[in-house]
Amino acid sequence: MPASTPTAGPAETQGLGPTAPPQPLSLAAVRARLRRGGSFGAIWVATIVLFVISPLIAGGSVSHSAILSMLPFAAILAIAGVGQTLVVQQGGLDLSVPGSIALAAALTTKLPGGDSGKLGTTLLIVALAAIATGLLVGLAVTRLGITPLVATLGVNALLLGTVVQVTGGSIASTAPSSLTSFAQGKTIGIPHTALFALVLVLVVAVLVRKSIWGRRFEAVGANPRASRAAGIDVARYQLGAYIAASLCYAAAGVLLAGFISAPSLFSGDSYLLPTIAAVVLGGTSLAGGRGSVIATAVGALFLQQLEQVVLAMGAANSVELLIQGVIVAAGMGLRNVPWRRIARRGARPGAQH
Amino acid sequence: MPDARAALRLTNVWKSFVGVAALRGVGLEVRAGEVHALLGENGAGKSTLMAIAAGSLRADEGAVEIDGKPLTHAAPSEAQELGLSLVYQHPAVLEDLTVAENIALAVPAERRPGLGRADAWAAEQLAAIDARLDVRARGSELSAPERQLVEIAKALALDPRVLILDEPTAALNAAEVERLFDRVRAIRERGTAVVYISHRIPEVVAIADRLTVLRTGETRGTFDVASVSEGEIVNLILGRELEAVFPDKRAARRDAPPLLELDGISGAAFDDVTLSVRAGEVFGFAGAEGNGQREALRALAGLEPSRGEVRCNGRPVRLDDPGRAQAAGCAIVPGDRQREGLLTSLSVAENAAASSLEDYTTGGFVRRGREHGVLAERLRSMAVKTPSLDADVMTLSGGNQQKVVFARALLSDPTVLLCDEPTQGVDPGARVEIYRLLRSLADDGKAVIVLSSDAVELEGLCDRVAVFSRGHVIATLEGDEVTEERITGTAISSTTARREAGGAAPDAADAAGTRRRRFLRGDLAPSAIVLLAIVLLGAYTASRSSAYLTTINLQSALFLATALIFVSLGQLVVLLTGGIDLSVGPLTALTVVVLSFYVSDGKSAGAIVLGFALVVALGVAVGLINGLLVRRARISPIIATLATFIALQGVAQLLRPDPGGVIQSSYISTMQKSVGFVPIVFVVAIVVAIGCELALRRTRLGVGLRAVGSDEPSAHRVGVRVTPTVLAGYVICSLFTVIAGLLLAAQVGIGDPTVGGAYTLSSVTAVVLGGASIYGGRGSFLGALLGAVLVTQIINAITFLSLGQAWQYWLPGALVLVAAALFARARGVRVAALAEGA
Repeated sequence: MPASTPTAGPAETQGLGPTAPPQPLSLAAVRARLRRGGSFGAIWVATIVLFVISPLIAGGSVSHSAILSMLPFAAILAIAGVGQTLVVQQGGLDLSVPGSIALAAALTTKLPGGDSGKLGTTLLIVALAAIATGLLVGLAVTRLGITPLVATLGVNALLLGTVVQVTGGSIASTAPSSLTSFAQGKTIGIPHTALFALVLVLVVAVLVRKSIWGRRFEAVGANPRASRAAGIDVARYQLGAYIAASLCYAAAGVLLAGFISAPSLFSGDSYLLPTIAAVVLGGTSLAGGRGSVIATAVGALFLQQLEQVVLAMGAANSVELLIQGVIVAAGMGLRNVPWRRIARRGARPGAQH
Repeated sequence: MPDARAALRLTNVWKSFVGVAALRGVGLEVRAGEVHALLGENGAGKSTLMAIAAGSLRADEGAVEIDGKPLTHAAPSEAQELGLSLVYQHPAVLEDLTVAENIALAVPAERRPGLGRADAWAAEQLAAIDARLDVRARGSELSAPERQLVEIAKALALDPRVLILDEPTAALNAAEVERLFDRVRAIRERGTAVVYISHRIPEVVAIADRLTVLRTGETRGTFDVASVSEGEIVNLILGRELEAVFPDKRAARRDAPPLLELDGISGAAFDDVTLSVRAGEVFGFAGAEGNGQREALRALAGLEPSRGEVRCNGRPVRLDDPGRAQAAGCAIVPGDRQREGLLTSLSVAENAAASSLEDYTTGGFVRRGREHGVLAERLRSMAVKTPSLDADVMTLSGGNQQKVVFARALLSDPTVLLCDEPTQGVDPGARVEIYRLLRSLADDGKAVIVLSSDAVELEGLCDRVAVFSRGHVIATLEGDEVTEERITGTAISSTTARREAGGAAPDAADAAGTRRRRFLRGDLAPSAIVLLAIVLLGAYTASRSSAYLTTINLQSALFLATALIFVSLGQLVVLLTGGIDLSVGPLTALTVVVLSFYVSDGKSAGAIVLGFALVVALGVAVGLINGLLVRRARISPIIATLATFIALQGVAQLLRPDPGGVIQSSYISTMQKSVGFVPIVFVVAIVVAIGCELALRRTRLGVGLRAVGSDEPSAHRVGVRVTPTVLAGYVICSLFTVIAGLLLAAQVGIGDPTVGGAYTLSSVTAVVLGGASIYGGRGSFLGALLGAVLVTQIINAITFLSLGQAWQYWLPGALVLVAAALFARARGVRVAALAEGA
């Protein structure tokens, strides 16, 4: 005669029952943590493998100079990727990346007209523009009920129009020298862009994982309705995500303008798809909720190094695109294979009740 | 013993979910021509068993036989063909489809007239069960009982050998229940086997011939209804005495001070509710579903707007948002655990701590040690079974998930705990623990309000019970009055009154007003608005510039628009399925590049034909790859088509690293042939769009696409073959895109691998302007066509209006935002609902 309560399943065997004290270091706890880290861990493995095999396929691809030329671009992509991660964590997808980067880059080159003294004011204007952009998207999503994808699509067009308006259709001036010397400079041999990205990524990661706002931010992303019922001000965190994201894109745009000195009008266009690719390769779920900006940054590094290797092989840009496409598809496809179920089935052949 | 007359036979069925056994070797035989009741508590396994019989769940082990033939695959369509229909407790009514489409979709084509005549046919099916419904109303406009009627009409239209009714009366009033019973008896007379799932014993006694009781996933016996008493049935279901389930109520506390006082609280669904709940009391909210009790409870948690005065501990409090309600001492355990309770994908700790994070925070940072100490203590005291605090909350059993949600509410240290269906989907063991927990909270001097549709639960648990009807509290029962009979009796006698009084309202509604509202919410309203915008912009531009309305300008503008039209039509097909196709842009470029090898100067007719064949094959291949990545590899559409986007760019550049291969001038002139200022291809595009529009409503594929996009699980349950439908959607999209590529080739005249990239976002813009829902299920091909025309027209008109180049971006961008905001409002989409969809 079976008991009236169902027997505990495998997930419940080690419980916080009245007799069992919590065991933070128990095997199950370690396994649970590994499993959660797993979705963000894969990109580390892939990136390390890529760097290990890089010299085998293309000799020059991990030389000092190759790394130094790759890092700034990886850094700028990572910075934009941080913004994209925050939006994806709120269940959105940000198509306003190109417009935001282009506007920031255009403003930083146009406004000072080469005068380093005006850099401070310019950066302030860039930041205000970014905050206004984030507010616009955020309000469209939270107040008007527009889908994030559509809202950012519309706002991106508004931003591109503004770029055209501000520049009059072409960018004549270059970024002020104070900015270019910072963006192209190095400290202890590390490019400033990379240092900036590193600091930004770490600060955002700590805030998201450890601060009270970060915890609520993740809760809202995981389930806005449940968060509302739990007493969290959902709109505030969604709005915050879009503003923070816009600031990230603006930072990427400023550094891009500084690094290449004379950015093209639509310099942001080439960043939309890579930011999304970096986010998904990093392992942040498009369904929203938990995300890792660190994993996104590693994803950005992976994509940039991949480009480096393929180009160093002497292959055309086209081959690089093909490989990138296959890697994004394969990377996502492999994630979705129910490895654990397969492993379990293998481990208990013919398991019966 | 096997029964020769069994119309439905289940043998030794096992099923477990995340390691918890839901069914353990269950067997069931239902004879032709009998009503066989299946009884059991929530979570006893009734619904799981029937889902297996209907093929919508796969059993771990065991066999299903319908009308003597084995069910070989767990597929609803196969069970349907064998003669089994299932009426779900939660109706599988697709919200974006009309009533007629919902009914027609559930029935194989050979058993009904074409979808073009579905309206009249569906009306007959509804008339057969005495249901008066507008067959052209959308699923989303129906009330809960109306959805139930649609479900029953769907099931009976199949003329089934076995009909399963899963809690069919949950949303019906007494008169409707009687009508349903008459219908069920008529079905039985035809020799159909009816399985009647319920936990309402009086109903079962009234309608069933035999009954089978399930408890904790096992059969506890099959009996003739005449041979058992109601009391015996109760004991079989519960497996123990009622007293053992519920904790003792303490002596009445009439002298205790009121903790929560409501003084004339009103909201959308409830009116003038006045009551007070004392410290130490468990207070019940009862009533038939939909009488305002849930809204009143939610209003106390700040989740529904309300007015009137609420006092907590004697002080007036404002409950206009959940955060403020919580600060005032009202915390809620929401009823819909999956949607509103759990922070899905987050850990047990993150779920439990969500409402009390301040307690563990210093300087803005959450102290993990302090947090986990408090949580471990709390969860242990509630006997939550979890591998660790860091485990994903979704891996827990239903009962433990519910306890985690309880822990969250309790950790916010509430004065009043509001519980909406606290034991729904919870196993019997956890249920008893939750009852004890609620009682011990009351004993600690808090107030507990419990909303439950289970009168037995309210009887066992509550000191007092308020019964709601039509938004009013019609009785407050206390002491000996708190019995199942009194609660249900009070609720039911007044429900009938509600129906009779409420019935007049819809008839009195202005018919013209209804038509206008339906038009505004319909798929064609955006088309009308966009058309108006096109005309106005055209007229204004023509008034400012005489060069605008010239043949040459109109012709080139329309030709440009046609390519975007085709991409947009394709994009809409995918959007309808709830997906998106980013790869359309590079696919047009690749089409141009491939053509440039075969349709260049001096190539033979044979080469040209080969070129066309190749691009068509290309379209099919890209569509299949996208579709398979989405359905088979389970990659989200955005990422899947992003990967093909990048790869297609690569292939195009590989074939033509630099622009080359001049397209034949005869090809270009053929494509650009016009009648007056109208390019022939534009006329073709209009015809195609109209054809698609009709197919969307009149063909199974069209309705299937919308069904999948509207609600994939429900579409699967009614027998839509989801994967082939989605694959077809992506292939159609790619083929339309290839057609756009053919036009683009005539426009650029050379194999340029970098053209067309803008089509990806322009097509989404056009489709959204045309009123399509980005979540799938809704959209109009005419709208997509007009949206594409408008987008092209804006870019064209701006040059004539001597506006800056910036307006080329500003106008479409602003239009998209305004249109999306308008459509969201017209459809009454609440922001919360949107967030849930995302």
